[in-house]
Amino acid sequence: MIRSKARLTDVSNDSSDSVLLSESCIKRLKKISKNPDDYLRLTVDGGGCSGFQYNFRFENQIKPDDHIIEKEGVKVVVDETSIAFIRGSTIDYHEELIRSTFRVVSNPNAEQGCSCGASFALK
Amino acid sequence: MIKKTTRASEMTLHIVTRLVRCSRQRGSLVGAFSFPFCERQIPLPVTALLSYRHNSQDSSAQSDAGFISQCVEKRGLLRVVGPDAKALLQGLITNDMDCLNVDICPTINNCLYSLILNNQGRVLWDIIIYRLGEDKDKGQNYLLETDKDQVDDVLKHLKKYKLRKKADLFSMSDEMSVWAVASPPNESVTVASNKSHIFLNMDPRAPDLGYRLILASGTQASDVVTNCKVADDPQWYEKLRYRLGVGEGVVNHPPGKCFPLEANADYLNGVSFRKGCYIGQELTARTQHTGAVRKRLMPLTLAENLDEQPEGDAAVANSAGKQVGKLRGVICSLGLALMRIDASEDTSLHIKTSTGRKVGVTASQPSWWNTEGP
Repeated sequence: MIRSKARLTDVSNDSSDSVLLSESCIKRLKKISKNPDDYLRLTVDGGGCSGFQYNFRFENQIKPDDHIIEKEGVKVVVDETSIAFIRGSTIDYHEELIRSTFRVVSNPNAEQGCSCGASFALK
Repeated sequence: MIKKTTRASEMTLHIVTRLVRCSRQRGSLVGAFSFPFCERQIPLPVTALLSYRHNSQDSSAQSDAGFISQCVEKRGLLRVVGPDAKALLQGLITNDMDCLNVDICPTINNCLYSLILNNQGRVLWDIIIYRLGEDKDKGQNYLLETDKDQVDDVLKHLKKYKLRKKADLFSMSDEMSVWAVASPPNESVTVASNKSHIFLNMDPRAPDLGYRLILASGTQASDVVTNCKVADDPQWYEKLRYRLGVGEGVVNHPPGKCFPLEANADYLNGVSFRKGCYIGQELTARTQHTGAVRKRLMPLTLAENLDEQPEGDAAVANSAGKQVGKLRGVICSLGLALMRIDASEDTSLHIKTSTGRKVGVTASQPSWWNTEGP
């Protein structure tokens, strides 16, 4: 089991809006983005054991209300509704034997997650 | 596809079990039920409700034959409509929205008993979901029944988790009312064809609760159902529920304090252990699969009619004075209490009134408890 310790890289000077990307996240995104228009979209939806859950998917459409976090050529995009839930948290790529996945860690707005880490409750 | 087939056969099994259980336990009759919009007769267990006896002096429910009905004033309705209505509810309730499948069996699978939990796995509200026909413009169309004074809180809760989902939410308590209709033995519900009702279905919880009927405000069940009268006793429905041991609303399930299995949600067809994640799922699933349920809501018979209400959560104690249960509601000589199951057969149980007087009580296990497991 490889535990990636999230080393943080601040990508935005606007602190109210800041979502951080960990080094492992940037490394992974560089590896899997085939062309520069691909980016990782993070959305927060109602659902899961604790009420809200994170969803990751690749896209190449940007909407007017999107917040774009760009670092070393890789882009993560979060829509206006979702950014409110994840302000101040870090997006990480986590590798384990059982699964490897992008995940949101140290979210200051989240109180408690479920065991699988896919969902959280608001503070 | 495979998943769907499994569900279908599961549901069929569930219905068969229910039929067998009813007929075995109560020797009840399989009546026929004419369903308003498909005009065919579907055999259903119409249980001998009025002959149900529970060592109670109260005989208001055992009057002459014919249907007895009452408007359930305490319950209100809200409407959830939109293409994502099902997905929104699925993430918040203990039961599986896929069970609301009119194609499998229209009479049973049209409404669903369920609970809404908080993320610590405690019960917030008990609800009944009614599936209406699809709205032409808006898509899936559901009614949610909950306590009338809780409708605004439930709306707030749903809105909190809605986010981008396409669903509209409205309170319908002013437009519609919920009715309970109890069936006498050997009779089936028939609806006068020229009268309109919004919804009619067997109560999804226990067969002895009869039917659930939703009408436009101002309409009486006796106008719509043939050979039906409105109960004389204003507490008729509440007494029926207490006698059966079915808890309903925030009086019996104080929000944030009860666990779903202690509220008998499993015996009342209110929990799916296969549906996947919903709020409060982790604790509920763990209790079911690795734990044991030691306390459950049970019906009590009091030695006398109580006029003064004991305080909320008053203790039910045994002869040694040790607390073995918590009182969750009293009507006349009937009560509901969260009881330790192993202590419930004790014959020397008592409660204390607000003035400190002791009143003897006996607890009983309802016949609809499916203690053999699913």
